Amino acid sequence: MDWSSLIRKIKSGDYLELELIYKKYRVEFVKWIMKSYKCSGEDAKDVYQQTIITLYENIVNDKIQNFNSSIKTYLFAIGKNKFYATSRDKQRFHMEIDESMSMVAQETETNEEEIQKLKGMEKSLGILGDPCRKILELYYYHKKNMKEIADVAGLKNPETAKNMKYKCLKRLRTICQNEVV
Amino acid sequence: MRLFNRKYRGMKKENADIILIEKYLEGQLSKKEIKEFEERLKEDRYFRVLVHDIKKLVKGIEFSARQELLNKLKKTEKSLPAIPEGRTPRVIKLRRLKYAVAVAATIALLAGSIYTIIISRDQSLKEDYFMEYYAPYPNIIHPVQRAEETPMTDEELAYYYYESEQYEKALELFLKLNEATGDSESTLFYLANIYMAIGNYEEAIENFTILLNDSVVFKNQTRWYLGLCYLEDGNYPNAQEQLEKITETKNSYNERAEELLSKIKNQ
Repeated sequence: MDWSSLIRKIKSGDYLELELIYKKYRVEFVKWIMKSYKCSGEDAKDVYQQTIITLYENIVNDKIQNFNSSIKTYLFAIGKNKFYATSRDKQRFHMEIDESMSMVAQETETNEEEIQKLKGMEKSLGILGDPCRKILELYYYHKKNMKEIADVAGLKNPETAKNMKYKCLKRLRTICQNEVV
Repeated sequence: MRLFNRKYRGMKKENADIILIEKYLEGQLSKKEIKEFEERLKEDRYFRVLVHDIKKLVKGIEFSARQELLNKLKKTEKSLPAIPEGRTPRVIKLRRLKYAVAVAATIALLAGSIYTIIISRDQSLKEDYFMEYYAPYPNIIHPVQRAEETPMTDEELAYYYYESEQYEKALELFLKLNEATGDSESTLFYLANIYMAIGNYEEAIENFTILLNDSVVFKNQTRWYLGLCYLEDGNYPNAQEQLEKITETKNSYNERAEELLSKIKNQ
């Protein structure tokens, strides 16, 4: 599959397409990570899942620019960085870092309080419920436009979806203002 | 701890402000608008709180949606057969192919197959090595502050785009910077890195080569990335030359250069 076809299919929002990519490179990727970084199969699968998520996010955010490299090459490049990031987060991998890498490490330090807040927000989104939660996730994470959101959420038109989105965002803000984590 | 402070509720023109904040977060404001935005941020306390809240809300929504997607992938993973330990699929394929060829193929087919295997194996190894060792050089010139600051100068913005992997926008600004600074070492180094990141190895090689003559700070980094470009380009002698030069002096690239060299030589 080439890039343009992959991007078109992923952007159409079908999870099955992402699942196909997941299955296609899974064995090769997991073995490569296990072999290259001497980690367990479970850890390698975690890295692979994070890699597929980054691929998805880069596609929906139009961040793919290296069309000269193959999809496999691109995935493996993300995977390598993901492995280091995951290892740093879990603090179970000691690696030699030179002066430049140490700056990257500082930037990706895990902020426990931040994660707690994000989890609290997840709870608030649960309280908000559907269709509001879905609308906000479609817009902010999956980068759908108002017409697509109107279609998915069964709303009358893009304008209705837009107004709904603002109402939902404000409602979420109010929930968060009342929520204690 | 409260997720948000509740005393800043009931703002006027909230929708219009939310639109403005979203544009700001998505990088859709002009330089002039960014300046106005930041002025208002300093002066208008309610606006400042709204910006803070929207940022947190968007982060939370993204986090939640990402978790949902991750759970879906984990469910998919559970439905798949276990991955067998052992040798890589490429080796297995070669063995199977060897067997099939021995049984059925003519000499011509055999020759053709071997040629194809060598070429595809070479291509695959080249990609594997490149992927194993390549990562864009980190932004150490203007590291992005995770606080509420926004890059303002063209130079800061260029490095911001570089760090956030928006290479197309970064390229545009780095080209301008390079013109203004007349091939300054750091600008040229990052410019070459951008070309590399977008897969334009020809331009990357050209810029790294220019840099090699005058480089003081990024000498070994330049050799390393130039070597990787040659490797990706299939030019092994030139790749080896750069890697060997790295191993001649003591530096932070020694170990990986030696490792990669031995892999290329044993291939």
